[in-house]
Amino acid sequence: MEATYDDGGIFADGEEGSGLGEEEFQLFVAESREHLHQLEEILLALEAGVLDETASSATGTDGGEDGSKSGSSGSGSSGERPIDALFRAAHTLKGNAATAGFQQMAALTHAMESLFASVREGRLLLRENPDLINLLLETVDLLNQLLSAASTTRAEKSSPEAEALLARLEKAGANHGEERAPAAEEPDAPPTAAASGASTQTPGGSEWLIKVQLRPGCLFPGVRAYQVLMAAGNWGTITAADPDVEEVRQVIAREDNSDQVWWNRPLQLRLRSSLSPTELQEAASALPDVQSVVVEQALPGESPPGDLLGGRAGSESHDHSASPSSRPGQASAPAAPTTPATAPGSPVTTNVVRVDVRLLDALMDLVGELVIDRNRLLVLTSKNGDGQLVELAQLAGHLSRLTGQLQEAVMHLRMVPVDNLFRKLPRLVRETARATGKQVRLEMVGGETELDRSLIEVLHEPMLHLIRNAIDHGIEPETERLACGKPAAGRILIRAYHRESNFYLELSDDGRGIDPDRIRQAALEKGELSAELCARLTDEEALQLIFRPGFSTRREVTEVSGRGVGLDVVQRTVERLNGTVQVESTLGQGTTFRIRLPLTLAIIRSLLVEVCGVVCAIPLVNVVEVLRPQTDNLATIQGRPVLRYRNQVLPVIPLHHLWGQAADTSSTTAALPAVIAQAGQERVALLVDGFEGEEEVVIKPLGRFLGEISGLAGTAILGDGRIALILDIPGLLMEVRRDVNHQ
Amino acid sequence: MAPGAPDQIVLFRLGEENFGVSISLVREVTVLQPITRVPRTPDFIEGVTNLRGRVIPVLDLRRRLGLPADPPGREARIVVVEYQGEIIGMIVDGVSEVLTIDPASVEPPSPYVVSVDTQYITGILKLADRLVILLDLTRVLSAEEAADLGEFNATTASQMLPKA
Repeated sequence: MEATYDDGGIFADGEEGSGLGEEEFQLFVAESREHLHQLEEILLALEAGVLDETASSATGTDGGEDGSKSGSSGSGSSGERPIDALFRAAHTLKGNAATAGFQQMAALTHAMESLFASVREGRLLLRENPDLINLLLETVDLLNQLLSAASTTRAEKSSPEAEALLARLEKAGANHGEERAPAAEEPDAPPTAAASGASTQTPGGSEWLIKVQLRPGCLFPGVRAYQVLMAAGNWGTITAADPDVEEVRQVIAREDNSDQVWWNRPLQLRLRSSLSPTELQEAASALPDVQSVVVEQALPGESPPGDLLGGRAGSESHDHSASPSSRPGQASAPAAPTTPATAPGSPVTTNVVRVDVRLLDALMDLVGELVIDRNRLLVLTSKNGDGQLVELAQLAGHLSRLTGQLQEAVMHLRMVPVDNLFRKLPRLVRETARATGKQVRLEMVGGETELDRSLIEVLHEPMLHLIRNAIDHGIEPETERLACGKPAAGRILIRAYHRESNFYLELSDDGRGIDPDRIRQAALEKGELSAELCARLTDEEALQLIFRPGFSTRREVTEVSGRGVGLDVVQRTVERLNGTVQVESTLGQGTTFRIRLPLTLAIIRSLLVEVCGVVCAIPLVNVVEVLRPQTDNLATIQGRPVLRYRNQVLPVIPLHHLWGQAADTSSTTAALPAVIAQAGQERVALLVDGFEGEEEVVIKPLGRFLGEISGLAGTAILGDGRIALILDIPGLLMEVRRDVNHQ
Repeated sequence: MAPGAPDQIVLFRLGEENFGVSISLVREVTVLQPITRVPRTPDFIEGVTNLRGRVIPVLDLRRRLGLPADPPGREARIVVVEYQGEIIGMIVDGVSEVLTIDPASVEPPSPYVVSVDTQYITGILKLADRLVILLDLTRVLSAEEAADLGEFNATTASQMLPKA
């Protein structure tokens, strides 16, 4: 779910700007992430030469083929230069961080903003300065970290890295004769504050005495005062303040809004600023809950807060002579909350509502209940052919269609574009390419494809593995590529799409591909497979061996086959989500990994089987075939029952074992039907007592009291009210593996 | 016993003994209904049941308290309690009444009077004609027990697969 953003930042306008409320805080985090992402995106594009920082058209700034970017990515106003977008993002970040009370983040973004200001004025070139881009990217990373830390602790923890980075940024800025605080160029007032011409002011500016009276009875006087102080910090340098930041903080910390008396006294501060009094006046008046503002020329020599107050207190209400316009704030301040200031060229409003994920979960649960009831109704009506029930059956049919539609609609509520994952990848590709000294071009298609949000989060890790693999092992070094007549830069294509009710994510590289013969050889050397079996494997089957745990981590395999670390982890992760991973490769031309996931996790089509009088549900994605094994296909190897199935020898698990019931010995076992189940490349024959057909079941967790039970994924209520246990096939297969290894 | 003693209790029977739990913990009492046995759980877990669209775990209170097992009879009921946000069913041999009690008539648990491990008991209520054992549900369904469950799962999982 995306929100719209305006240039003024979330806290610069409107009444919601307390900076402390849960919702505001979440908004702050979300918006900051968005801006950081935008910074990163543009910096990477500049570095790659895709963009020219000062070229006046920003078309293509977003650099994505996915086309799913909303206005949030900052190229809202056409003709904006990338550097303007950079500056604006840094500027907004700074304002928000300061308002939310994260000093280090504010300082870092301020330093970035200064650098961008230099670029804007042509004193510095980013694209000829890879070190500078690196430094800026490092800063973006650190800011992301600080933001993550902040979003868990809600408080700023001073980070030494931030200090170090700040020093480097400042040094980089100083190298280009950057003395003036660039913030002066664009005050943190809503964009309506006419800042034009401010840049012509002399550096440092003159010193002003500003008195701000908050609206009596406003809800968060402490926070409002804090906002004023923070904003003032952006207009220039505060030389004295009463109350000062510390005092205001203490008031906020007390969370005590009864302290009204304290706020009857105006907030006073001395500020050295290059802004004009009118600009200061307007900027301050536009802050929330500000009732009136007085700006006066400060008398030279007058300093510390004590003096400032002592000397001024008496004359305060009379001395308007130096104030260009005494109290226009009275009119403008109450008007401010009604509509957030909208910057010219701000992104179009979209029809988007932010919804708490927990609400969506609750809705999904309710739909789940409805699906169960529908199933019950269908069972009831199918049992009775009797005339009276025909109408009921029709009703049930209708309800069934409605439920299906509702289910789909709710499911879509939980979906977010996979772009949320995509945006993290260019950076990863860049880092990996650098580390390996290879050139890599990344293309991404289908960022708008949607997937359940929980699934997107889980996909991050597997994609990380696959990208590292592709660059590290798939794509050849430049010389080798040129020798085979390939372009010097390797290409990675990431593609997302929907097909039927599945989501697909593909990662292809144009590297050297995987040689099935070498995999066979490696499998043989490792003793993983017999020579006979190896020879029988088709190329495709051989390729699947790379998903075996432990197989790929071996050094020689990594070097030989070109596929390394953790593919088993990728497969396990995807399968836990009822998905699959496939690999295809053509020697010399490249490799494609294809991840398939169901669109939602909550409802799965299952085969129902009966074991020991209990109904078990096996997700259909795991079912290869159901059959009644021939006695001669059953055998015992090393004391374990096995089934010859096509060309394979599969381990046999009588599911009765789950309940501790001794497997009915060979004679009766032979008569039992079996389900050939598969997870990843491994298969198993599960013996059951009987089949009960297929049903779409809603997963219900086992609950905290029972906890996780190995081999079970959860429970489900069937149409007839019985409970089915949902089997965890990947888990069962893992047990088989572990068990065999223990021998 | 202590100030925390319940003033209203649900009275039920396990074998020949009478037990009580605070009514504030009891959500409802239902007749015995089909229970799906869940594998790889301790033996006092009877399984799960469908309580109006909700899957809840059911435990056999006799076995939980170490009393001799006996197949549930006609009067057997499921006492449904809510404990730390989790709904849990407990099979008992019969539910007799809801009783208002005088905390003063509750005595501390004594191992000489009852057959149940005193760690599960908050006190003994002396009525004119019988003794009622007041159960400490926190102990019966406690976090440590849940932890034991978890351990149990981990150890049994590795022992489950077919050995020749």
